[in-house]
Amino acid sequence: MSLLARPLRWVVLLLGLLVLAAVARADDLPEYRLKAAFVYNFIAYTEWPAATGSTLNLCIHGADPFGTEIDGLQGKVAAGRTIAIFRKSAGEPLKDCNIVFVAASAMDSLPRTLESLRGRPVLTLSDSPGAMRRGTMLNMSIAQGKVTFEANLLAARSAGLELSSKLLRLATEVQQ
Amino acid sequence: MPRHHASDHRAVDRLCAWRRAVHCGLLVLGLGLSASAYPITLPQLLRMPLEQLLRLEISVPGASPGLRRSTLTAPFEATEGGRGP
Repeated sequence: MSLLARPLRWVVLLLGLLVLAAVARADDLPEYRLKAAFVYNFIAYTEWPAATGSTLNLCIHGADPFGTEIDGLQGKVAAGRTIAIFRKSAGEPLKDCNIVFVAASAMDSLPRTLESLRGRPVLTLSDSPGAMRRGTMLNMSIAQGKVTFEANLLAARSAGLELSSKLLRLATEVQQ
Repeated sequence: MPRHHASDHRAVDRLCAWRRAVHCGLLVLGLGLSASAYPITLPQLLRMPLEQLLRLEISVPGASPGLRRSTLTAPFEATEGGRGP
């Protein structure tokens, strides 16, 4: 029977095109847009001390890899508090920050950065290999095109922060 | 029924089926094209559970929207509801 006699085949073909279009759409996801969404979740699933104010200052420390993607978190509410984004060059003081994302460009000075934050409830984030073992609380990486993360529970608790059980369950590695 | 009338009926039925199929196909194609025109946005990502984010694949590993280094910027006003444990 000819193709013209089977209109249904055309519909099936068009449905196939729809699936291809959906795949193309899923492929268009920049790395740092997805990482910005992870940062939001890290903030949301952290238990902050009661003394923390109503605004959480998220500081990007070093050369910002997010570009404008992280700006989408500006004014969003997580854990009952409003997020404000700041960019700090390496070497700038971080005294007003509640969350510090240590960019790859600032990893050389990580020990000094962590020392300056010691004893304060500041959530430290990164996306550099080995950063969790060097003391950041949540470290993202890419595995098979997907974002994964590892958690340093010891560092978080030392700073007076509690990471939710959900974060710990989904982390690829937890340092206790 | 004369033979040529039955043949006409079949022709009309085929034409109707074709029209339905074309309409349906155009609708599906339109939906598909509109979906592909809009990549996944940050607000959409923020509504997804963490488990779902872990399953998403990035487009080009290591791609960055552009390095930017700047000094302290003023925070915006809070306007939206959010998520918490």
